[in-house]
Amino acid sequence: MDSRWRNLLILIVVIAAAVGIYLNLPSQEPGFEQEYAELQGAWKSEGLNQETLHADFDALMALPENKLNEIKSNLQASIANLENEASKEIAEAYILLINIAINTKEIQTLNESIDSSVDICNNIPVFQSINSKQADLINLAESFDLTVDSFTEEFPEEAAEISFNRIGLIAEEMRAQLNEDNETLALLELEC
Amino acid sequence: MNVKKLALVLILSLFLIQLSGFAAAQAAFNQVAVHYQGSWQWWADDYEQLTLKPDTGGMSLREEFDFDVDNPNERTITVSYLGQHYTIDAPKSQLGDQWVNFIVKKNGQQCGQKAEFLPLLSNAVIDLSGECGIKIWANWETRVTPFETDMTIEKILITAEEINRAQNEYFKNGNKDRIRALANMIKTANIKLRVLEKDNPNDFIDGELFFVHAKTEYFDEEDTSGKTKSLIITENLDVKYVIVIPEQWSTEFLVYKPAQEMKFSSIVSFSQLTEKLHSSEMQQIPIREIDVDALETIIRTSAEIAGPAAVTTAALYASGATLAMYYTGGLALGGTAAAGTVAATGGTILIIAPVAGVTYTIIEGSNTHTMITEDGELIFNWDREYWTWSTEGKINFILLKKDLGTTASVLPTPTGDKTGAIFIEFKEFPEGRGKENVLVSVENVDITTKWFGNKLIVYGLTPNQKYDEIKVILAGKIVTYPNITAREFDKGLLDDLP
Repeated sequence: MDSRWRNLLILIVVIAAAVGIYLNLPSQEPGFEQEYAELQGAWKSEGLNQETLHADFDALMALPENKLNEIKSNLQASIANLENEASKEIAEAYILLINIAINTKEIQTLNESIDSSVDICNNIPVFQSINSKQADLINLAESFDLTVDSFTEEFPEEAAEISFNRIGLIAEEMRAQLNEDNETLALLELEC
Repeated sequence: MNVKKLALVLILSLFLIQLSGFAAAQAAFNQVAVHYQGSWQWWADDYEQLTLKPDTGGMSLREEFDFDVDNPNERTITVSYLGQHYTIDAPKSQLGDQWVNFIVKKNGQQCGQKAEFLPLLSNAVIDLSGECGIKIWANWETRVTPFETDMTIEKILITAEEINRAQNEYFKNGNKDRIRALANMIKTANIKLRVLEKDNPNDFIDGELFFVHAKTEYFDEEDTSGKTKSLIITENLDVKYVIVIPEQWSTEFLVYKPAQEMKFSSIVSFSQLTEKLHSSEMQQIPIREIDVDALETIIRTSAEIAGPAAVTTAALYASGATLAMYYTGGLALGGTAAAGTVAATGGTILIIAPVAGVTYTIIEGSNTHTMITEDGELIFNWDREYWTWSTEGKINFILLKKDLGTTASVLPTPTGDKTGAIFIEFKEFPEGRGKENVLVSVENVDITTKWFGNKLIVYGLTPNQKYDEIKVILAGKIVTYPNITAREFDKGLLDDLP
């Protein structure tokens, strides 16, 4: 073989090997631990000193609604900068958790504002509005569980690391109760 | 069938569906559950559902209930409407034989009282609509029938305002229950150990006397995570008790208490908890079994709450009921909560206390046990669960003592002879509590007592003997005195006391 052809062939093999090696290199995605540590700033900066956001729901519920909204905004802003898929997914789950807390607070406030001595006919619209929020709450909790399921399946090590579990909501049972209440309210409304 | 006829049938069908739905909803809002202990009853009757009928000023239950006003076991009725409980007790009044004292409680709290003089065979309307939201129609039969019936309640009316309030509360409580259920699920999903905080209303419901924890807790001896193998009870995040189901569990739970103040945050895992249980930081404390009567006495003495009502487990099986009985949002039967199935076979379920929207129950049967710690602060009822593979036992409910602020102190004992006695002076009594319901035990043995004014004389003891512990239960306040010596006392002086 002509030496020029031989050199060309060697050059092609070298280039192909280089391309192959480059394509097979492990990705340079930042680690979960590093990004999770950054994510913690979203709630620690708002006064919630927990290692994981899901560690203490009572502490989360004790925060005022504006603080919860700030944590939510922080998380939403963080997602754009996250590169690790596990971090992104857990940030999404945490946003759902914050929404659950906000929604729960709204229901509590509405419910506590109801005066039981007032004619129930006047209260029916508020009860219906609460039930609508309750339905949203069930959807949020169900979405949270689905996200946790997916997270645990895709990233079992990370899930174990932060002890991340599903709520275990029995959504259908709660929806059935809510539907019964809604039907009763609708029929009471007819009587009013 | 042409299009017009089809349309007509469709419209009629929709109307009928609407109408049947309306009837169903109306039925639910017209129903009351009644528990009745009256004359002619062997023990007590539960009517799961009776129908209220529209009446002037509200809705009424038109059924006859015979009362014997002399007998405390035959003169009470509890009507439960949408989670609100109205209990009528009709003892004979101290004003005279023909006076009846109507005492009405709403959700365990006395809301009204009225003494009525009723001539023979006369009728009276006991109007407590302002105080309790109900009116009672009674018929006086004293000395007419030679048997037990003194009086018949013929009608109970719940006022329109009360009906409206109960309906509003029904929806409000439903919302609260749903939120609480979800919050509990979230909270317990991510903690490594199971913790119940006394000050957290999601964990302990504040009853009239005790903090009542109505939820069933399942235990699994093989749970390697330890989450269902242990239960930590905290107060202000300090560990108060740890209940553990041991390996190779056969007949009981173990209860531990920290030797010194211990923050819950110092326990991060089950292995760490196990280390502490086996160290001097915690000590296992004795617990003893009490029977249902004793517990009922403690609760009734303490809180003067209504009950007991009785439902057989056979009836529960027949109705397919679950352990919703333990927390039913105030409904005597049925309700919405809780997992689990009735494990006990036979026996009787006593509904001890309809307190503020909560019903908790004691299962009395071959499989259940009610335990009290030696300090009298913790009471729990448990049984073994046979019906699932993973669950080995369950605690049906937990009661924790609440301080009512009663104060008491031991007085210097006069010298004398013939009997050993200890004098205790009570400086305050909780309002409305009867001194006749005092229970005293010396080293867990019930002992004879006598009141002299505000002084309780505990006697029948050995003179000059030192006793490790004397425990007084009065109005729910459990006061314990350690290391007391019974002094000699002239028993003749006791006999002279009024």
